[in-house]
Amino acid sequence: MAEAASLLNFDDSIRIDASKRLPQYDIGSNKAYRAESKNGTCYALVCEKHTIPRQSAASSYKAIINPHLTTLLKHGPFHWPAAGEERYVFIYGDNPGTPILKVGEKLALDWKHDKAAKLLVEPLILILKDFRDKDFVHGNLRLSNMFLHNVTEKNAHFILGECLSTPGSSAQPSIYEPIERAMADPVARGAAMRHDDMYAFGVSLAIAMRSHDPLHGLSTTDIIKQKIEKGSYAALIGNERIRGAFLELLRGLLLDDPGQRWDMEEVLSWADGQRLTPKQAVKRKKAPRPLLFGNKKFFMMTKLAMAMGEEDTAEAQRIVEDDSLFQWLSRSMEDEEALERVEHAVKSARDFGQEKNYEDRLAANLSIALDPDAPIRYKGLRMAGGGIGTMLAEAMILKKDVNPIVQMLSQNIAMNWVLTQNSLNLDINTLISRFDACRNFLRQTKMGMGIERCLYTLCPECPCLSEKLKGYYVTSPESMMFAFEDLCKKGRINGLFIDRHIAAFLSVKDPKVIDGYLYEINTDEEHRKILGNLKCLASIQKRSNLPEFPAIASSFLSMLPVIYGRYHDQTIKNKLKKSINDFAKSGSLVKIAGLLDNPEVIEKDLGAFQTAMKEYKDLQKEYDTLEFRLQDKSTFGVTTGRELAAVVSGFISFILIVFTFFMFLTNKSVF
Amino acid sequence: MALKNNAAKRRKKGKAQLILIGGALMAAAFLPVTLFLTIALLPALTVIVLDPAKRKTKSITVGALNLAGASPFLLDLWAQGHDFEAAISAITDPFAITVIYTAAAAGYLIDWSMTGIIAAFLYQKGLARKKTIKERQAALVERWGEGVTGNIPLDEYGFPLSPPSSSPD
Repeated sequence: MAEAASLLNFDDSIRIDASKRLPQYDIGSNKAYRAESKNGTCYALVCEKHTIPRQSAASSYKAIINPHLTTLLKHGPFHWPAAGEERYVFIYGDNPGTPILKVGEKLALDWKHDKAAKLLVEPLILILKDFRDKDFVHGNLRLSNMFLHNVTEKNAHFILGECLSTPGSSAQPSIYEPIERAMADPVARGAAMRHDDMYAFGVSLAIAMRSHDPLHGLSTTDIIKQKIEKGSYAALIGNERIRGAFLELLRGLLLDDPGQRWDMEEVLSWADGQRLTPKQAVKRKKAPRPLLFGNKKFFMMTKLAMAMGEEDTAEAQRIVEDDSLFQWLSRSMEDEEALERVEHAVKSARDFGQEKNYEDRLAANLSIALDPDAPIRYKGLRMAGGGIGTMLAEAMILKKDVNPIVQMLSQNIAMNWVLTQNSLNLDINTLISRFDACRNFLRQTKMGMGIERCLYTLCPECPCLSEKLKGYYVTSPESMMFAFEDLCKKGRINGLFIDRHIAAFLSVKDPKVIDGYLYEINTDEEHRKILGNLKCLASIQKRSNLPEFPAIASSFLSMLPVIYGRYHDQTIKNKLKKSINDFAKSGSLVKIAGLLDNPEVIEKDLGAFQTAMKEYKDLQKEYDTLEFRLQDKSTFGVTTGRELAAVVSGFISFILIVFTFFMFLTNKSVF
Repeated sequence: MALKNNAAKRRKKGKAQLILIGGALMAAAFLPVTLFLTIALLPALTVIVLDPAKRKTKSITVGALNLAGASPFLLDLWAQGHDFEAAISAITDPFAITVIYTAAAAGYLIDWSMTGIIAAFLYQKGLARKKTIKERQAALVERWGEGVTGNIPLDEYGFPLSPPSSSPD
């Protein structure tokens, strides 16, 4: 009985067993459950609320047909009873098997050449080739996300795990990430590039082949420092000797310069037997003399940038004010470009004043100037430009302080970062325009602007985080309408529909359904706000050709008296009420909005009201005159009576005179 | 404008003087008739003097019938040679004076009765009109709301002004 209750119908063909956990397929904090489809067993990955899945990449992923890639069957929001709300769920076909490396196991498998070639390199090359052909990036290549379907070596089948349930590489241990991406907070690494997948391939192979872990026990920061000092290959392989063809492959894939790192063409050439010699890794420049920063000596700009952004911001101000940083850059590093960047960073930090947040702003700008490839470091946050959106989304969902992100956007720190980038792989123009737009949004406090607008601009895959839609996973204006309809049916909508999050969400997703009504939605006048809400929802219904929403329409009915009150003529009001009640029953928001938003009727109503006002005034004037005249009954109507008497008398006299004259002329006597 | 008004007044005054002079000349030329009419139209002349109304409607009412009553005797005066003797004979004839003054009295009667009847009728009509006005005003308020009375301050769209609610932010 209990088992039956835990079986949840995802749709007609798939059932999820919420009682059967499959922890080996968990991705980050997203949990995997056993599921059943018509074709057999499968598994479901239920996304945590704060992880923003890569929904838009799902169609590309689905299009890749590769026997070594776990198959995506279905995906979408699903009511997850344990959470009491909708969660995004991915259903993957067939259980992929046992992970090559279980969580907590030693990061060294000591695989022999043949085994590594058969179970890892060959299938991965096939998959990465397909990824290249479909313009897809995985971002989750790691041994714990790679599976062997049958454990015996002879018939083992390699399966690569999923990559859609988390934002780009956020579940990836930092060791699998290139140095600069590893520096960022996992959720803020931004979308992975193809060369990041190649690097992760290299790390996976290195861990599979090495017999011991030279980085064992080191913290993430120390691993990054080791990679910076020695280069990734040397740091990962240590003193071990890799023999044969894999040496070239590993050296090529683990090059720290993404421009020099082997791409798919080079890997395919290598697989075809061509012997390529990877370029020698360019060592990072070291100064002959150190810079003293926080009682530590620094010889490399990258490490100085790490310390500056993460450890001691006050010290950053000191080395700027005593000129030691400039002297070190020009005399020891002899790097004129870096010097120029640092001077610009200091100027930019000072542009916003030297009081509030100056130290942090200066440290962040200096960190960017010293190591442009590294993420932005500000007040303990480390974000790649493309990862700000997902970090903001996570912070807002988990109710963390978003002020550092607001400051980073409004005080040009993010813009400074993007302006120092010279990577051809980054879409710099898009980032510039987004950050510029965000700076403008933050200056405005009205609905549809502010940090909420920044969120949906920088993280387009974030669901709407409105409190009104709590419990629903809303990813589009259309799904929002269905959520509202459901909420209205349950009587859980009190008052207006559109709040700050919804306004910002719609404005980013489909500006045409809301931007024209933002003035009304933001006004102080209640009737305008209601009409703005109604027109916006009606616009979504019309543009998306959605079915009728009787519950939403009915919810609006209780608010409409305020709008009826904006018509003067009771006759019009009664007619409107009748028609709108009819339309509400059928659920046509478009027709209701059309009736209420008719400028011609409003104009006529006002004109007729003004005429009625004049009539009332004239009547009052007449009444007052009458009242005054009727006060003296003795004089009222006397003038008119006398005039009439004069007319009657005049008429009688005329007859008499004519008669007399006639008698006189005919010589007859009147008497 | 003031100059124009002054010129018009001067022209009017001149015309009245011309009529007066003309009338005096005529009265002098037809002295027996003048004598007869002066005595016969005494009731009318009295009303003209005593009637305070600007339009002199009562004078017209009495005067018209007074003149109608005098008209047969005036024609006789003309027919009998138009001399002082005939004029004195006419005004000393008790029958003639009775007829003429009775006609004037009829004028008084018409004025009194018509004024009374019409005033009473108009008073009732005024009361009815007052009621109709109130009813129409009530209907206007019912259809257009209290704002139609103009007794409460309205905004530019004709709706009662209310204190602004709080800002959406």
